[in-house]
Amino acid sequence: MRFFRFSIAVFALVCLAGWFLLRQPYSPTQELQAVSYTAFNVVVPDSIAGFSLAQAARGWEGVTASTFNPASGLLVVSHTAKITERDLLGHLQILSSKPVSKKNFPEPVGAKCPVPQAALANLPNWLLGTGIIMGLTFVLLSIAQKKSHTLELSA
Amino acid sequence: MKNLSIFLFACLFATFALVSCGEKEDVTPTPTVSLYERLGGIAAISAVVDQFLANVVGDNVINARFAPTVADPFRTQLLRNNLIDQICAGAGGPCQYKGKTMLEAHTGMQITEAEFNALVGDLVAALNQFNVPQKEKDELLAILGPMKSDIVGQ
Repeated sequence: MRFFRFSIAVFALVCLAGWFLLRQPYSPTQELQAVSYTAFNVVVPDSIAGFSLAQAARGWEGVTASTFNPASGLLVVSHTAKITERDLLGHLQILSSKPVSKKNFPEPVGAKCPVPQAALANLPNWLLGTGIIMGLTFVLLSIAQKKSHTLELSA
Repeated sequence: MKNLSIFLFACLFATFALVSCGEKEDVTPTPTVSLYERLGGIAAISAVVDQFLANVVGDNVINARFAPTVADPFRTQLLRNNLIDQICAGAGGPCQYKGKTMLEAHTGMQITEAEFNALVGDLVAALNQFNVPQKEKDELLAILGPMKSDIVGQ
């Protein structure tokens, strides 16, 4: 029991030390809503029609920015989770008389890190959580052991 | 004696009057509003960055460079937040840039002058869309300009 408590205390300290070393300073950007950038191939008679489509898209709920590039024929929309790619495609197809398709950018080739980057970015939070839980477990075990020791003495 | 006292009092008064006039001129507050505040804070900067990145994704000259990032929502978010943090911190805002240095981030990418210019063009287009005044635009570009040597040809 004593060894178990000692191990928990060491583990908690290691986790909290890891969190302290890896933690990121606070920045207001952490409060911003996540956005995605979706590109659509649009066929428009002239660039003015393309710019009008981009202008219209800016008014939709969940769209934070949009642009039309006449050279590439791409209409790019920056949007939050409030509006899906499917919704965007539907809205654009209604506005444009010609077919609209999503542009799929090629996936990166070559070796990839097997651990998802999101998991790595969340590591400090995991360490903090685990450290706190282990610390609390250590405190509770210590109290429980002290109580049982007192009961033994009184008996 | 009385005249001398009056003369000394007058001199003292004149001295105080002059000194206080001088102080008044020095004390006049000069408004020092940071570029961050003049740009409109974090909401305005994030709106400009969203537009800038949308311009980049639509730009055939450079969008291939950003394709892997756009395909991955986590990387997209990281790039966007790093850009906002960089502009916000450079403009005197309360943000902390947590990304790599420009040299670290671009080493091995062999970015050309044309690609860099296309990127700057996309940023200027985003600033123009939000009618950012010329003074603020110039200040912002002056902050980002020195990074060119760490980005191009690395």
